Amino acid sequence: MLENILNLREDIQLALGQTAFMVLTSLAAAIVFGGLLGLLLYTTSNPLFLKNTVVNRIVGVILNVIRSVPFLILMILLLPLSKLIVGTKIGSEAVVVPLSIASSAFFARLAEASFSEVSRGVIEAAVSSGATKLRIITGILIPEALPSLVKNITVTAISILGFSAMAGLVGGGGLGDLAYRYGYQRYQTEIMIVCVAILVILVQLLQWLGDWMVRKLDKKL
Amino acid sequence: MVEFREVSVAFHQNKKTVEAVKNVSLKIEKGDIFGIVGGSGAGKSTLLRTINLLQPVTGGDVLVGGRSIVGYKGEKLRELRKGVGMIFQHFNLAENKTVEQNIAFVLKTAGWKKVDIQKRVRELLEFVKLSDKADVYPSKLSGGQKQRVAIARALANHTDILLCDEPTSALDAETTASVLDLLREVNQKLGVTIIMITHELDVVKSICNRTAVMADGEVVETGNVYEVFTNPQHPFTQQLIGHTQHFEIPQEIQSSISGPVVKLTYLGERAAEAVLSQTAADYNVRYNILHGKIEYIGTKPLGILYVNITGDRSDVEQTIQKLAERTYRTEVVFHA
Ligand SMILES: Nc1ncnc2c1ncn2[C@@H]1O[C@H](COP(=O)(O)OP(=O)(O)O)[C@@H](O)[C@H]1O
Ligand SMILES: [Mg+2]
Repeated sequence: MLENILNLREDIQLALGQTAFMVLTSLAAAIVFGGLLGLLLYTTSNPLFLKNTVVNRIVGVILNVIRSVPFLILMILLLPLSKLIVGTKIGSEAVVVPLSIASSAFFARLAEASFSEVSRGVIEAAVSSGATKLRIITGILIPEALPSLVKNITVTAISILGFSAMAGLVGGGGLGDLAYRYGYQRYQTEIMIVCVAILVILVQLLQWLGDWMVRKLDKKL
Repeated sequence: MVEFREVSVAFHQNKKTVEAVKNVSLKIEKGDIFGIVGGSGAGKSTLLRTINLLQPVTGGDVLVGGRSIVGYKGEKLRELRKGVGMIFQHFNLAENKTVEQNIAFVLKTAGWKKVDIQKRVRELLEFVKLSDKADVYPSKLSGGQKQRVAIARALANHTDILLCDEPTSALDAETTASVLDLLREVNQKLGVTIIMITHELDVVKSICNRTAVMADGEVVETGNVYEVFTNPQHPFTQQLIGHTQHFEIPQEIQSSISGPVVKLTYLGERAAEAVLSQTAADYNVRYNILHGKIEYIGTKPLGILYVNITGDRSDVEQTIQKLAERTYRTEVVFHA
């Protein structure tokens, strides 16, 4: 049993690398694009910024559509787009495209909620000081929302880790794929357990890291 | 300094229209501490917020420093706001910024240089007596300290008008007094014109020189604070002020006394003594003091005394006449 695991050490390392690549790339995309979309949703719903119901509704509907399609299906539907962007329809690189889109849509809603939690009065005080909207966004809104944004980035990272387990379907590899292939298809339960254990540890680490950063950032208590 | 000309503000919500401010005309002079009082929902906040256009008007005109501001937009509006500070009931400090960073934000916004910002922040914190709190986050401050920081922030860019929206309503009595002292200092030492709204008459009495009373979106009475308090004209104001000056004569006293109970209002601390002793001797009446207090409006005392007068019927009548001549106001409030 231990032998089996040792034999597959390289495979496990490779899978871990693939998972890390997929999660980190998509997380970066989610923070940037999801964050901007969240900001767009927030500012277009707030009269103190750029209230625009039409834009808000359209963006909201698009995000909801993406969020309601199961990731497996979204991945298959978006593979042509992967070909266009990263030049291939298989492998971890190909999976990153649908994964980034799904996680951006996921994080956009969470980011919107984080921005909405910022007290209206604090924003109003900044408005009354004569600051431009851009300065209020960069100087007040984002710093005030930061602890909550980090909390939601943690939630997003853990969800991406879950989504990435489906990458095996298009040859994307990763820990989830390895667990499925050896544990389920070849009845090497110990490999499955090792992979799952690594995933559990990763989730724990992400959670700890997120919580630690929130504690550092949040000055409200 | 600030003038409202027939200002109206209406809100449309679910096909209903709320007229929050109706046709208000007011003039606030440079150097005033102007208090706008009224009950909750009277339209005070809405009116105040038209001065820096946090609230657009739906009718009329608002003049700041002689210029109509209701059409201001973009850069022009931001310039106006840089010269008009504002503080709020719940302080509205950025929680993830230190005291210094909160104040510095305003100065950066106004284009100050880094070295000047540091100097100015130190100067402001000294003024509000929080020099040791520069690097502290707001969550570590008491309510009164938070409001002091908010005042420093509002004044940072050398503003000459300070708008205050219920600045002491979230504070206890003691802290209220110290924040009001600071505002008085802001007015006297820095020459800042203060426009303050509140539902607390005591606040107006303690620091304002002029006041406007609002009810249901309208200004029902305006004038010098001392005059409004000693001689309210509008029934709403009379009721508002009556509340704080009213004394309910206890049942057992009502049933045990004879003769009238008179409420005397007099200006000055000791103004009633002379006339009481004189009339007591001249008309051979006896006084029984039921209740008395001296209120201070600004620094000017206003005395209120409830006395029961006994003696011969005609003596008592003559006494009341004499009292009416010699005091600010004499009212018979009860007759046994
Ligand atoms: N943004 C708004 N939308 C709709 N109604 C409002 C709004 N702001 C205030 N009002 C209404 O206007 C009236 C006056 O409110 P306000 O100026 O806040 O009163 P006050 O400050 O005297 O308590 C209230 O009836 C309030 O419900
Ligand atoms: Mg109000």
